Amino acid sequence: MAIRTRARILTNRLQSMFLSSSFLHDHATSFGYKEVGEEEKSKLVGNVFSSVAPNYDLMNDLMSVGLHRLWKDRLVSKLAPFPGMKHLDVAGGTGDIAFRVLESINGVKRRALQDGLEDNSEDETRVFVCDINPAMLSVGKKHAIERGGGLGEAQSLVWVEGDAEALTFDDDSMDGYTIAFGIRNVTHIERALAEAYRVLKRGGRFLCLELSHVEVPVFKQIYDLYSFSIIPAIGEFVAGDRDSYQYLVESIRRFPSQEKFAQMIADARFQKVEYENLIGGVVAIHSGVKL
Amino acid sequence: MPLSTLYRPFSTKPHTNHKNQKEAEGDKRRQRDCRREYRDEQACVLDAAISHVVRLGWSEEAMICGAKDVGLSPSIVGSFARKEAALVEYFMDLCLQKLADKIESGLDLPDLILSQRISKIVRTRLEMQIPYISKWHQALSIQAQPVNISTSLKQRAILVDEIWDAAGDQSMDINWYVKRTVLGGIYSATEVYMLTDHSPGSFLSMNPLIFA
Repeated sequence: MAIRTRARILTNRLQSMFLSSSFLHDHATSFGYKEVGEEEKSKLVGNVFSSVAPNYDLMNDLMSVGLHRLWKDRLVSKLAPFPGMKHLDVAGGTGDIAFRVLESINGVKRRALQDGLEDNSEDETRVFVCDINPAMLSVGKKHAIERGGGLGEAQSLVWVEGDAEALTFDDDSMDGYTIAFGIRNVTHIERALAEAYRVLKRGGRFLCLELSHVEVPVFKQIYDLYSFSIIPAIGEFVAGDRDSYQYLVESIRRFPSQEKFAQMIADARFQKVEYENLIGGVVAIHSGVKL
Repeated sequence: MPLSTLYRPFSTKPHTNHKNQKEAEGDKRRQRDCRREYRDEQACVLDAAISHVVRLGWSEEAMICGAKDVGLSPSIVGSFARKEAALVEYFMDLCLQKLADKIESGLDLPDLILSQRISKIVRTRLEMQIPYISKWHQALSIQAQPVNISTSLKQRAILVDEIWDAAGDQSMDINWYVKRTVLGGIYSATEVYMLTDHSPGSFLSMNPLIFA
C-alpha cells in the first residue's frame, strides 16, 4: 500500500516535472517572442539592461504612471522588515527595494521595536543588492548617495555583482529574499528559485513582484493596447530604444501565469505559497516561506 | 492603495485543469501535508511568543522574539495574516482547549446548582487571562478591530457554547440562542470588569450580582 502510494507520488512528480520542463525550456530559449539559444539569452538580456540603465527609473515612472512606487511599497510592507534582518534583493540594480527596506527598518516605528527587543551586536541589519549588470548597480550606488540619509556610506547596504542562478551567498544566511521585476529576465527560473531556497534561513521568506497576466475582460484589451502600442513608443521617444521596450512587453506575455508561477515556487519546496494581484493582475506579488 | 486580490492557490480549487482525478488527489494530499507543517511551525512561534506578551504586549515584537526562541527566522512573522490578531486568536484557542481539558478532568460540577456551575466555569476560564491582565486591554482592542471582529466573535460563540454544554444545557429551541447570547454578554462584561479590578484576590470572590 505504502509502496503504491509512493510510486503514485513519484509518477505525479515526474509528470509535473515533464510538463514544467518543456515550459521551462521554452522560457530559457525565448527572448520576448523571438526564439534564441540559451547562452544567447542572458547576453541579450544583459544588453537590454546596459542600454536602459540610465533611464530605468524615469521609464518606470512613465510606463506605470508612477504606480510602480506603490507596488514596491506594498512589496516591502508584505515583507515586514525587522531590525537585525539580513535581506537579499536580487536583480535590484537601482536599489528601489533595498532603500525601502532600510528606511522601513530605520523608521520611527521600527526604532520602538528595537527598544523592545534585546540589543544584540551580532544582529546588525544588512541589505544586499545583487545584480548581474554592473551598469544597473552603478546607477543604484549613485541613487544611494543622492538619496542622502547616510545611505551612500551605510555599511548596512552592500552592492554585489552576481547571478540570480548562482548566488555567492552562504546557505541559510538570509532572512528575506526579494526579486522585483527581475525573475522574468532570468534564463532558468527554476535555478533562481532553487538558489533563493538555498540562501534563505528556515522561516525566511521569498517575495517576488512581477508583471503578470490580466484576465479581466475589457481591461485586458486596454492593457494589451497600451503595452504593445504606447510603451515601445515611449521607449523610443525617451530612451531612444524601441527594441528593449518591445522585449519588455513581449517577455511579460511569455512569463507564466500567476497559478503556474505559484506552482513553480511550490516545486522549489517553498510553503505557504500565495499570490496577490494588483490592478487586476497587471502586477502580482508571489510569496513563499522556507521551512 | 491599488486594487488587490489575494489568492491562495492551494487552499481553493485544484490548480490545474488537465490532471486526472487520482493525480489531483495525490497533489491534494501533498499540499495538505505541507500546509500542516506550516501551521505547526506557526503554532510553535505563537506559543513561544505568548511568554513574551507580558513584557512586549500582543505585538510583532513578541512574535519576533517567539520566532527567535524556536530557531526560525523572524521573517516568518511577516507571513502571518493579521499579525497581532493571530497571536491573540491563538491564545483564545489555547485557553478554550485548556478549559475543555479542565472540564473533562473534573471541576466537581454535578454538586452545584446551575448558576454556580456556570460561575465556576467562567471563573476558570477568566483566571487563564490573569497573568496577561496588564496587556489584556490591548488584546481586546485588537479583537474589536473590524478586520478581526468576525473571528473573535466566532471564538467567543464557541466558548459560550462550550460553557453551556459543560453546565448541562439540553435546550433545543429558541432558548439555545437566548442562553448563549446572554452568557456572551455577561462574560464580556466580567472580562472588562477584570481590567479595572486592581485589588489582588477580589476577582476570585466573583461578585454574585453579575449572575443575579
